[in-house]
Amino acid sequence: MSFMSGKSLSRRTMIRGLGATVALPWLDAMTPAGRVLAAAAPPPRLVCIEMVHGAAGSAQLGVERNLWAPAATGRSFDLAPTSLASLEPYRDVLTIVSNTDVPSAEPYSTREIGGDHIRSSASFLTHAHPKQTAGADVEVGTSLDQLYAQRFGQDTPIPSLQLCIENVDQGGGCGFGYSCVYTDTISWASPTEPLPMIRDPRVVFDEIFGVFGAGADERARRRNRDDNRSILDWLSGAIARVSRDLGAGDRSRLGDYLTQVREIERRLQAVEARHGTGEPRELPGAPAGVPDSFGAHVKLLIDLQVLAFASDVTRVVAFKLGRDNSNRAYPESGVAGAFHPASHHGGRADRLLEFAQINAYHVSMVRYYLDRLHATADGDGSLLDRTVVLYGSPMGDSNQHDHKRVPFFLAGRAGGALTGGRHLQAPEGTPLSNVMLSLLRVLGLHEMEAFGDSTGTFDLNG
Amino acid sequence: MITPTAAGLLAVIGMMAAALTSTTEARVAAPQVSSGSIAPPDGDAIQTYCLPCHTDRRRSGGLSLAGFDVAKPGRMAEAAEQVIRKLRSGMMPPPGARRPPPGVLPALVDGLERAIDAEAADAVNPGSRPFQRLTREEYARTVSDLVGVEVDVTGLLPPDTTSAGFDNIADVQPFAATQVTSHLRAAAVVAERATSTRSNAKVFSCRPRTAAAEAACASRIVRDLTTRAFRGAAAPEDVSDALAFYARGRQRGSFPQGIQLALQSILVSPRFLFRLEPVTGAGAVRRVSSEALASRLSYFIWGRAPDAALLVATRGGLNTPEAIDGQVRRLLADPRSIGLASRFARQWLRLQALEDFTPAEAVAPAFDRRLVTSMLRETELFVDSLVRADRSVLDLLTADYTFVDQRLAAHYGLPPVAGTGFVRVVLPDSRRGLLGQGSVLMATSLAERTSPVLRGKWVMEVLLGTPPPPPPPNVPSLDDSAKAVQNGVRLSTRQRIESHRKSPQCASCHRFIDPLGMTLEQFDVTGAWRTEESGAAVDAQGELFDGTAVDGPAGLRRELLDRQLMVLRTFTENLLTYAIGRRLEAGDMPVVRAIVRAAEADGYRVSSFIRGVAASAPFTMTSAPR
Repeated sequence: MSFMSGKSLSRRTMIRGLGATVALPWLDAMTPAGRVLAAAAPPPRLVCIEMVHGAAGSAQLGVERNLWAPAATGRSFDLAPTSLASLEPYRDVLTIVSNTDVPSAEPYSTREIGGDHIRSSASFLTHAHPKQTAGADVEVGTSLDQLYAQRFGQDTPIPSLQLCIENVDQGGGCGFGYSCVYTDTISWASPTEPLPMIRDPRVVFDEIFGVFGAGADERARRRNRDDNRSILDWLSGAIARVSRDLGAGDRSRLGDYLTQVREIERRLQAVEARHGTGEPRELPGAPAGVPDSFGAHVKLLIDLQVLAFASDVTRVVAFKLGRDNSNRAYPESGVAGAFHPASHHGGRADRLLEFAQINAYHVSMVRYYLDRLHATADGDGSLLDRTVVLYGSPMGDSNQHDHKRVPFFLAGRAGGALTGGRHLQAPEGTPLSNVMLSLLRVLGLHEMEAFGDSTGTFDLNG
Repeated sequence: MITPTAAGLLAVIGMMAAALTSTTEARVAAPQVSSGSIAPPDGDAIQTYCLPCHTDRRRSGGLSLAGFDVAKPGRMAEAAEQVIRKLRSGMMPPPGARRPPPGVLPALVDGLERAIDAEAADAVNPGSRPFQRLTREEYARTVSDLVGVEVDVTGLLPPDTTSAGFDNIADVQPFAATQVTSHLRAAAVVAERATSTRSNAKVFSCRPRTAAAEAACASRIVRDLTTRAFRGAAAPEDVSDALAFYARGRQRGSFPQGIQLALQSILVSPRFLFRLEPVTGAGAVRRVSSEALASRLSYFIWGRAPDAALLVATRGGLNTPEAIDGQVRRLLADPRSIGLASRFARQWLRLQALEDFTPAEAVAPAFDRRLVTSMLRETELFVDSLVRADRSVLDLLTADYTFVDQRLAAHYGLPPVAGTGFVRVVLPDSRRGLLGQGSVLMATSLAERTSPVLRGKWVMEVLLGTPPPPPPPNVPSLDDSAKAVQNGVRLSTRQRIESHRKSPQCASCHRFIDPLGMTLEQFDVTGAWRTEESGAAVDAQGELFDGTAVDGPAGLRRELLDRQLMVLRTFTENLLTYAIGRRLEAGDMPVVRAIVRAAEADGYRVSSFIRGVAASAPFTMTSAPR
């Protein structure tokens, strides 16, 4: 492929996009990824991106007009009429899977009817049915990104990152007996442990580089790490001590916190263990905050993800681009109307096309991501070679609030696990969980027999 | 002297809490709400007017009243509270359904409330919740008070999960690795800035002149910091632990660097980050400790940590009705009670929605973020003025004044104001109260047009406590496209809404929602006054679900005042939710009603609600989790 042989930019060029670069040597562990990776062939990187509100191409008329899925299956598909048109240069690494459903997001009983927007995100990567509760006893399933991170993310300082674009619920968006966390995150460490998502680029930057050794010089960085280690060490004892005066429920809650403190200690040790090699590198200055524009915000967070991959801080990211019921508008898409009202297009052709324009704009963010991955050197190739980006929505036809024929594709070959360059149309009624199960299997969780409500596997390279 | 106000309040306290003795557990008989025999409510009305739809099989509105016993409504407390809400707001039986003769429904709902409240008075149930973590905003305020450092927390800490509209609901705040790293990072940032100059008197309460004097000074500083940071709960080990960090920092650096590391450890201590409430006493229902109560009071009224006077007060025992009431008055009189406006009211009114809101350029070409900032400040100053002057809570709807800067005065079409700050101004009738404020009007708009649906939903949810159910699937939205034209004329929002409501499926809910929002149509997306939309005069008239004709914001205000009991109870429910950091349950409603009842004698002054909440069982007590 032509782009594969294209000139890869240096890491320094890449990070310049973030703002002024400052001399900030950090982790010595930031060995040029390729040199180490080539020897050990580490697991591929996994990015899971969710967009809400389905797609115009999931509505009846949208299917007929190929607004999401191309007309032809196999290799000679035409992206031009679809919302994926901007991905044309990457068609050879695309695996488009159409015609699957997310039945776990549907109502299971009458009192759940009307909660589609609230259940949707919780089902996206879990394919489990969220328990209707407003309290702490939330329950859905372990998400795909976490299953992967729990197996393959443990060698990096941060097993996985959770990022988002929209704020947490601002009041009124969630309700009807459902906890807001179902709409706030797509990442679940276990069926009962939602993982918070970070929105502010400054927090993302610090999460990637901060605790693990930011500082003006090597001595300061080492001192910061030492301080944090001794504080964490002390904290374990302090938590045990204050627990004594508390009731059983609160003791167990502090126990949960202690588990997280230990996890950070583990990560810090992982960083220390990787020290002593490498040379000082330049890092970008920390970003300034949340940009007003959707596009600028998404791109900034993508830059940070690419930076995290390039420095091998993490290999797994869950990235939530939207929020159900959002009335945000995307003027950059050329459509003035707000997202949620636009998604209720009434099946009318003119409004469907407008909605497709918004869908296409969102997919253009993936184009940017792939460009960045492709432009960043990783050993003899680029980061894109050993990455897979999953993109989709747990809703199908948003006008009907259904979860059928949901938009979904994979971009990247994940180090050869995926062949790419194909449009696969699933048989009617195939749950998307079959596709995700097969993805987990080709990514190395070979022994997995089932995932969520899966009914079987799905040949992604067929 | 006991004023009528105090007497009313003490009656509430008496009913809910005072009978609890200080030593023993708490299953306590409290005085009856009303003496004499209580006639059971009329069960026939439920049978005749409710049961035809609310059967087990039909469950209209998700409610079944099969087996509902009007004499023992507490047995189906949730259903009973739903019945009370719907009857009090006049929403049931629905329009078109058979209605009983006048007087029947009020008697039924009065009877239900009396029966439930009398039952509740016999068994105090304060409920329980896990400990609270400092919210992001509380963290910022607490750190500012503690060491005088202002930090932009949005760049340091992840956001808090909201529940019931508030960010401080304890049980939905899970712990994840991100919190630990964020807290470490924030502590490092704060400690460095707090100790970067020795002139920071909030940290350096002494300055050693000789090396020999350092140890004593460090010990004094650390004792002071732990006492304040841990809100009265510092144990001797807490001080010695922090001093060990001082020694570590001092050994490799300067005196301030020693203090810096000690402070860094204090700021990640569970005693600082979490509002731990130690178990005191035995039994299923207990009063919370004085230290815990001090924090409950200060975070409720100020959104900040207790001050020195509050901590001193804990030594004499804070958890008595008299001590609490004295502190509530003191905290309210302090300027820091602006926290009620900036933390509580902002969330109750759902104004966080403005953080992400940008209207389309076509409808608001002059919009910029400063307009949002001004509007939020207006509402903050307005609510705070009601707290300061201790006015009636109903003034939230009716006040004839607000606070504007130059920008807002022009935006609202008011006479220009001088200077750069905010000025109190008198308002025309159409803009009185919260319903005339840009913050509320913009937070309930869409980017490219007003939304009578969102505004109506806001009134039902935020003011009346009766949120409409979620829309069923397969609901087409309004036709938003520019092509929404008829005979070549672009349709107004009203015309589009009305065509939407022709569908019977939509009408069953939207006949409640839309007319409320329609009365505010003279306010555009940004809350500016308009008389025309799409070339036609704006029509702000409507007919409410019960057939009442209503016109414009003044008309809506009048209707809300007609249902003021619902407005006052909803305000109280939100206040109590925020104060105790948990979602209310049906079992809490007797407390809500009692607070409103006691406030009535006091002209519904703000302070009577605050004092009622602070004296209530859920606020002063806790029970072992079920």
